[in-house]
Amino acid sequence: MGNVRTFKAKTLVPGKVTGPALITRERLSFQGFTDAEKGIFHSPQTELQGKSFKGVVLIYTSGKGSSVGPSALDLACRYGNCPAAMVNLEIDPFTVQGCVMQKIPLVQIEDASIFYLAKNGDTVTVDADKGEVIVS
Amino acid sequence: MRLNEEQQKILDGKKGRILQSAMMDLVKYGTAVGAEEFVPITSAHNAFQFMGRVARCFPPRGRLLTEKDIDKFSEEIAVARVKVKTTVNPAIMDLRKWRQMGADKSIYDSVMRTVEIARKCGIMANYNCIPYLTDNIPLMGDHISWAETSACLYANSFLGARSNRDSVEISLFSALLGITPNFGMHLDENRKGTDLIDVQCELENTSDWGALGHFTGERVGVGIPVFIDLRRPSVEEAVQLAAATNSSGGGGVPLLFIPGVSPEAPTVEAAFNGDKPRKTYVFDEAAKRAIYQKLNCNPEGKVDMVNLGCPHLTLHEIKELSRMLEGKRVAKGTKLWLQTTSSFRALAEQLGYAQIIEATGAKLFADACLYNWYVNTPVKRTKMNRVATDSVKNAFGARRSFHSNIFFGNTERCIDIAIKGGV
Repeated sequence: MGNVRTFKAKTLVPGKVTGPALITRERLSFQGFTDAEKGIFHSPQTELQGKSFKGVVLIYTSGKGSSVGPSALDLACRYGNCPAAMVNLEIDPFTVQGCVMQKIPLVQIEDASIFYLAKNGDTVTVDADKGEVIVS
Repeated sequence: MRLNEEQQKILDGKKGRILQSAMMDLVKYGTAVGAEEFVPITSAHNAFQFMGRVARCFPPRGRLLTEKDIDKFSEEIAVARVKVKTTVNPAIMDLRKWRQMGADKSIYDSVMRTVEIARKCGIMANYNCIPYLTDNIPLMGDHISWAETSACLYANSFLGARSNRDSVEISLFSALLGITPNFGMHLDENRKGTDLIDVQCELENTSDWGALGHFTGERVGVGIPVFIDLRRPSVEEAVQLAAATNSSGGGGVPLLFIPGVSPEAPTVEAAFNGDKPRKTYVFDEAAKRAIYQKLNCNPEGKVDMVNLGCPHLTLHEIKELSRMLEGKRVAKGTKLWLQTTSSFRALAEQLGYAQIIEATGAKLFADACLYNWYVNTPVKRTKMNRVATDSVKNAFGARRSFHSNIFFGNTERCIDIAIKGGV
């Protein structure tokens, strides 16, 4: 476990969870880019196409796009496909709004090195109560 | 957050489940973003398309809703009622010409039931995406809570009203309570530029303004752009700039400044309010061309659908389109669909523009949004493999939602394509 890295984080939505990482430097929207029922990104316009977001710690630059983004996230959660936590570098209000309503821990980190220090499938603990993201 | 006595009562559930749920989520949201209190609002703009969708804004969450859940919710929301002027985004169909869009009676009935509940709830179901030009026009300094990707940006930037980028849910909660968390765009200190956009080419039509918006949203990400060397836009050009900026794949722009046009920014200095821009981006002829190339994946061939009116057409645009289309005929096998508001269509009919347009075989629809119709209406879908449009928002969204090949070009080019049946 020599590769454990801890990132300081600002908490937006509290909670503590551990899950596998799903990472992209892209900005993401759930509206138009996801299949709620299958719990996957289905749009060819994201490099996460085909990947499941169910139970993952989603690490990405920021949210984007439509004001119905939180509604698309809501539908995915109603199908049982809720992500475990979200980690953003920049904060778009729609992401906060979606996470608040679905009780998904959300933090903001400044250190972009997470994009090359963590890879898909790494175990990530988001401790939004302490303000930490731990990659192991 | 600090709550007053009345707000605390609502939070404690003394005013019913719906208002309590709205207050709980607004408090959690306000806490997340560091708001210390609420600010009273004068208007809201959100969505009220069909009850199954509206009901999803509220608990129970985490499971699919049954018909019984939705019926119970419909009764509750009608009683809760909104506290401020509230309008809504486009519907999933034209409320009068739904048959021509291919919808069936059961969908129509469910939409009309939604309209009735909206009325009981105090919501003006105007079903359009340009409320700032029609039924919901805020004044400078008004605190408002608006969803809709482009309307919020327009109201902040060209009217000087104050709205954060609120989702459909947050805006509906704010409407029901008459308040919204006081942070972000509601506060003077946050209403200043972050990035400079230096415009070094001519913008000739609304599509060019859309291209500028796409460039801006993509480059700025999360921020507030200030434009220099940009001529004054027409209202229609300003609409396209706002719509394209926030459908660009960037992180989201709540406010933009065109010095001398935006009411809060008489000068560039005033727009930045003492700050230095963090970055400068140059929009020149090459940058403009690159946006057109990026949005065009349909260089030639037959076109199934030419779609104009994203955001909804103004009366002026309808008049201009009637002039361009008069005496012409839309090609067989190609559809020309235009979208506007019910109010502008009524005027267009009264003034004879609608008749000239429809004599060509084109359809002038009201209320509807092409996406809402396409995504939500379980009807035999109109062929839309190849779509032409003059709107960046439409071009970007159509490619994503319909996986269509897109032609993006100015209004004249699009009309030409509709007449010829292809590019």
